[in-house]
Amino acid sequence: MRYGSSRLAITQQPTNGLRLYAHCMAAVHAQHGVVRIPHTYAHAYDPITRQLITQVINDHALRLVIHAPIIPPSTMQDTLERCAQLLSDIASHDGVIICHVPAARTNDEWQWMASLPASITRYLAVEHTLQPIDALLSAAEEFTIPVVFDWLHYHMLAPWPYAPVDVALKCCATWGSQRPLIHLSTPDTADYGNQHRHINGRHAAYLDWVTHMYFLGQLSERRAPTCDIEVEADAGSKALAHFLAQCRRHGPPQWHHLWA
Amino acid sequence: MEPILPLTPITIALVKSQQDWQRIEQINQYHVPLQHYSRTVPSSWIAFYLPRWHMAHPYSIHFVASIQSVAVMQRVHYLPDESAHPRATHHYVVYTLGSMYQFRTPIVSLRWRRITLHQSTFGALARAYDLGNLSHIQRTLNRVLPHADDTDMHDHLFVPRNHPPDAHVYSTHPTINRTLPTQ
Ligand SMILES: [Zn+2]
Repeated sequence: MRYGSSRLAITQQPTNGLRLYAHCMAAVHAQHGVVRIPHTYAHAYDPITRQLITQVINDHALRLVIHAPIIPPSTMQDTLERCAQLLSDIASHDGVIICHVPAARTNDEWQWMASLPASITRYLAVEHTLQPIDALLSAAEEFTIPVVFDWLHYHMLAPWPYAPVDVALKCCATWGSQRPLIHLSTPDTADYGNQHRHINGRHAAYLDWVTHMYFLGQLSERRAPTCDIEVEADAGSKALAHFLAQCRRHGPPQWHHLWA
Repeated sequence: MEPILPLTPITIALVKSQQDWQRIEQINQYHVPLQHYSRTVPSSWIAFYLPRWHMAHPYSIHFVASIQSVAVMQRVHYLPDESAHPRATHHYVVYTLGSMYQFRTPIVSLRWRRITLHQSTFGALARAYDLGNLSHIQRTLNRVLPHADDTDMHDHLFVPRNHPPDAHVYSTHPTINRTLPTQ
């Protein structure tokens, strides 16, 4: 398992290659194996910078994950091209570009994504957001684009029967020979009064470690392939470190390989 | 039989001793001291938290019973054999229980918590790995579940009585291996 957190970006602003390099080094320093980089970092960099980044990715087996903006993919072809170009420039063989498909336009968007050149589709994945998972899984199978299972989004849909492990296994199966990517976070249940009305789906600062320790443990017992985990929490690296520390301390011995 | 909806309320009650558990199983009766009744929730369901003394299912909720009737009585009136009990004249809320069911996925207390009476819903119980998560999950459900949700959870929620629990439920408990007798 490799882990990473969503909050590591030094800046979201358009930037130069050394920032991206620094970003990767920050991930290495935090002992992350999965590095989420803002899509604004995706540019064509000079060869020396590219070489530096390629080397840090190789030396530390980093998996780069770019979150595309949360808009229909067909409205941002140039962004996707830019992201794919970056991943290929720095030889990130297992890099991922995560797209979000609005529930209402599922089929058109999937068709459009599948029609992109292979140089882009090889990196594409679709995140399970607030939409029925069955439709998403059948589209994933039809168009062979993998699905990122997001525990929070599944949980917030309040499905019944409630079976996050079963659904995560199905999402893992869409990745074929690639390592599946999974998002973990905990709903923010703080009361913000009336000022923030659209907070369903917001994530908390930290992870509820018991829930996610069991989730990962059961995935492993049900023989899920080795996954990469992105922790989406406000406290970012601290939340991830806290989660892993709790799992190492309290987790049953048979699951220790998951957070060793 | 009335459906079990995600927001159907349920009281979680501690079963203090073997004797209390026998009373639940054999004469379908559970009682709560009258002064604690406000900590229960008006409901036709009660779930039982079995603490350390229970050999097969310690620190966990495996069982839930429907409530047929509720009455306020002095202890001596419904337990005449225990007329010498120091609280014989105290008032209790006495539940007469209907059928008992067993959860498909029991809820275990992983982080130690002193539970006597707790208010929850079936929706939260069905989603919690750990008793400590119940109130957090409840707050989320209150926010996202439409109050008119009429999914009947019955079939997925329960298994036949005395179905063996998943091995992982106890194999991963932090303290349980120390308290269970070795076979
Ligand atoms: Zn996510």
